[in-house]
Amino acid sequence: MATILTVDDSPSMRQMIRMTLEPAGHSVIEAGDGAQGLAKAQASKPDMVITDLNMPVMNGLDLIRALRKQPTLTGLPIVFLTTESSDGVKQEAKSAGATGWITKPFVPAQLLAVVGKLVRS
Amino acid sequence: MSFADATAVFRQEASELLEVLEGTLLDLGQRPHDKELVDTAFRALHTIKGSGAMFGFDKVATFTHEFETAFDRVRKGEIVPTQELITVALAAKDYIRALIEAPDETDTIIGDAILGDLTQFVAPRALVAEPAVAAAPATAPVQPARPAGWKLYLEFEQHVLRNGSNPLDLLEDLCKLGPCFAVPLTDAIPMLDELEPEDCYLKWDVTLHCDCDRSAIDDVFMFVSDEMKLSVAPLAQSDLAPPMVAPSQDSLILEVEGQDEPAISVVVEAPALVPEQEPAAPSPVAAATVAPVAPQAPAKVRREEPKRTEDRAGATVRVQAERLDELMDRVGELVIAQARLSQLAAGSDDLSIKMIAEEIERLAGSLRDTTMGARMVPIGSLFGRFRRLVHDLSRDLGKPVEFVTSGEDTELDKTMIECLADPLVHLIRNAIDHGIEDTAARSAAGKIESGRIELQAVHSGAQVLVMVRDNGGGLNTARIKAKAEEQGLIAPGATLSDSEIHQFLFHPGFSTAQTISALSGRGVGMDVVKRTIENMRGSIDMSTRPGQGTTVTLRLPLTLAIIEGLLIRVGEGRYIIPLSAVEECVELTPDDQRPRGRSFLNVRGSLVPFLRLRELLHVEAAAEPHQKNIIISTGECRVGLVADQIIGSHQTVIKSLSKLHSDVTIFSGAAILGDGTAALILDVAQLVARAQAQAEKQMNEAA
Repeated sequence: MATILTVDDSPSMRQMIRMTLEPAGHSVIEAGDGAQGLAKAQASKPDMVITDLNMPVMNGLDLIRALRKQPTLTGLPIVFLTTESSDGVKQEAKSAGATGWITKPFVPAQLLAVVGKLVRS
Repeated sequence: MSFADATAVFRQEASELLEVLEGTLLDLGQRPHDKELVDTAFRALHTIKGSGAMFGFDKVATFTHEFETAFDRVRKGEIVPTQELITVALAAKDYIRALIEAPDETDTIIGDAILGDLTQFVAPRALVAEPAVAAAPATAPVQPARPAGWKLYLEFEQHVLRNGSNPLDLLEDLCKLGPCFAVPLTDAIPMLDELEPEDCYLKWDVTLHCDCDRSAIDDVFMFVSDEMKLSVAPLAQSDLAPPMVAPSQDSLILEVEGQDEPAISVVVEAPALVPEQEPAAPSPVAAATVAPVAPQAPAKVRREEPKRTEDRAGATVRVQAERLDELMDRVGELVIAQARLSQLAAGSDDLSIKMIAEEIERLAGSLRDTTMGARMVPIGSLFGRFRRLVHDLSRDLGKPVEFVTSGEDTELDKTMIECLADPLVHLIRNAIDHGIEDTAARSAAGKIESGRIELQAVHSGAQVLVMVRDNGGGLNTARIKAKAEEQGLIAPGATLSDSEIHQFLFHPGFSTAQTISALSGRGVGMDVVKRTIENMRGSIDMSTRPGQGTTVTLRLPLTLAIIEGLLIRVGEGRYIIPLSAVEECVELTPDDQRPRGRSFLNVRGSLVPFLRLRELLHVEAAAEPHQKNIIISTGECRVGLVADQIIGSHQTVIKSLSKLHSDVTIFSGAAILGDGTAALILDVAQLVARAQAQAEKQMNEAA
């Protein structure tokens, strides 16, 4: 259905996302840090990006800002993963250009709900 | 991929992260103000927490959360990490590892105790259970009765489309809740020349006929709630009937305006967020931890070239170790087969066969090098493990110790790195427990209070030297000798050189420690160390200077698998000398040919002792007229080996000798040659030692 890019330095998190989304018919692309994520987003034009915030090389906030500057990726839904329930992080990510967020830990249904919310066939 | 596999991925990942965490915490003990270290530690904790919760390690997630909470004040710079805090944090890290590896056998009491210790260092803080789903909105006061519907007014910020939100999608989501009637308000749309094509100018009035909760509506607008004005009001009784005919726009607006203002202009600000729990005001406890605490022999850990963890993380692929071993075996067989092919081709007149054989030789060589390279691991990964050991030992023994490592980039075969871990643990323990004197003795001897352990790795020819150096009291040669006499290892009063006496330390069950500590002194260890190193074709040396310290040097081959050798012939037999040890080959002049007497060779002015392999190997046949002398070296000493013929360089896979031949000292292994026959590999270190002993004897005789 949709192509979803997941950017996270934790392979297990990426795997979890893949395991949730692939059975639902989505294809999943993985990237291990923000820089890789940016490159893969440019190359494969995903329908949605799910990114961690806390990552080496290029963090999630910088990735979101960089993605928003891409003329070919306008309107791309970007969701960030966060374990903090604090407002500050969300505000910061939102003003960087994020569309939404998923709070870790999440159950598959929550992830699918968010994806369904932001990606239309 | 099954869930079990994913759990295994998590375990492995967590184990790596915990290693990073440990290294970072230890570094932090040295550089408490390094913000980047704190961030690295947090990143590791964060991932463990997040992934832990995902994979059902709830205890891990909860505990890590508490750990993180405690450390948050460090991140904010409110607390400087003291040695004590680092020690507790390391314990917490160990506990997390235990929770992951053996969750059922791990007692939560330990965790509680650690958390108790941790909170000593930070302000007491109410335990905030993290909401399972932060998305669960904090709803407005419960409606007394569910209304039959809702009236909404939506006004988005103009840039809402740019961030990937689509108001149409949101309206669609609203429709899913129940029959919905939306009227766009177009009054804000500017003239065409002022219109930004990417902005949103529409506003909507929506009538939703559904008895859903207010929270369901908030859920729809979860992500955009702070980028919009949303008014939600229960539907008035008069609106109950689903509108069959669209009311005029004007009437709707009037309705909105006609409503009681406070009731409808509920501008929802981030409904999805749980109000942040403010940390308790900093308590005096927190202030106290900033103050210096009684020094408790902090282990200073310093690396000469501080490497950041990120530097090592390149683009890597994980491969199971067994696969590499298998690959190495195959390459070994290939190299043997290739050698046979080359030999056949050399005897053939067919040029094209020769060309192919040469090509295969080249390919096999580079394949071998690549495979070897894939097995090489920087020794730094091993050194890293000892930092914790030194830290803990130093704390337990109350001896402040500075730990310095260098040469982390030196690469060694993976299997050797694994084999080296235990011997090095022994050596470091010995150095701290026996080598470094206690603080009082050190200051009495006029030395600086803090001891120093140096772990160094360097390349030396085809060998890697790993040195463990301490600046302690040095070996007590007299006491070792007395002990050896007491144990009946030597006759009382025997004259032995210092290095011979030191060799007793490698004797099983030999210990001079007056008291047996929990760590060492039981006399088990050094003999095991020696055996392990020798099994790796390595050797162990010890040098000491009284009052200044001891250096233990391990000499190790780069790899255990393949050897580049010089093939020689002595009589009928063929032998291989490791090429890396060969310095040069010279002809043995008739002048040097004197059958007996002093076997010294004049190589450009320096005297080099030589061994006649014919004599050593008891070759009966007559010597060839032109004897060759191959000069080999172990780094410090040069020795000549006299052979009948030098055949050429030969690359070969080492096959170890059977246990039956364990007492054969001058050979380190065997190799299969191209024609299928075997050649023995000469043990360079043993030959050098033998030649030197012979040279010393001859010198003494001559004197």
